[in-house]
Amino acid sequence: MITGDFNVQISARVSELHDLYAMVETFGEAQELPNRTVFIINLALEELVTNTLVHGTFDDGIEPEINIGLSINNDRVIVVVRSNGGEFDPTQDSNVDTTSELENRPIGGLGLHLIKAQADDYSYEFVDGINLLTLEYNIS
Amino acid sequence: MASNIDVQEQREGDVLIMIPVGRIDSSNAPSFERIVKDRIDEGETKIVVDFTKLSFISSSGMRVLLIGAKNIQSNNGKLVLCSMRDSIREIFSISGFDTIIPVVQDRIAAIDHS
Repeated sequence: MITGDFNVQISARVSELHDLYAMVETFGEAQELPNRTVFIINLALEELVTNTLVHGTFDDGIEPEINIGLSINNDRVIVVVRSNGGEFDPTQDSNVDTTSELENRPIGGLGLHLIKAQADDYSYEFVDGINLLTLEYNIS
Repeated sequence: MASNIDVQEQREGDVLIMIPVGRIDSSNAPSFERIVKDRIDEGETKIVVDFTKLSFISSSGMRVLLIGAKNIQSNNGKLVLCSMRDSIREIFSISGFDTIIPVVQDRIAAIDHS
């Protein structure tokens, strides 16, 4: 397996997001990652970036900034996402209703639930005004 | 910045088959939502969304399907999903969506189910 890290800074415009997904796919091909792993990493990034843009709070003149790093360590993909927009811990607050009947099923709150359900490990810190989320995925 | 989604449409009797192409994410989910809403408002009561040409869907797109399923049910109709690749099928299972919106193997089964 080829080793090598990947790091990208985006300002969360849609055009940049689509470039990001393409880069993750290129990284996945270079690392010979399973299609499922590439899919769930791109899903997690989509949900996190959207969450920052929709729910983040930004002072005047401050743009959303999200830095994404991917690396391989001991048969795991490590995804590190650093974002501004105020403290928000995505590892908390996920009492998502996955069982109610259709007419009673709430709309929303699903993205973060998916991230946690699909990661093999995750951790969160808020350091110097930056949200730092680490997601780990077994390569299997 | 919003973008539009390409949704191909075919008809099998009274069933409308909708085939979104590419990916549904936060950038084009509003476009997908408008198209689904328009079809329901036009009176379609049997809609199949065929995932054959869909490589990716995020929670934004799943939300559109949940809203669509609710709206069509309130018109005594039915929304059925089919032909998902494994990675997409997995998130419909994790979310429990597959317990409230029928997900079947292929289009023939979807039409049977409608």
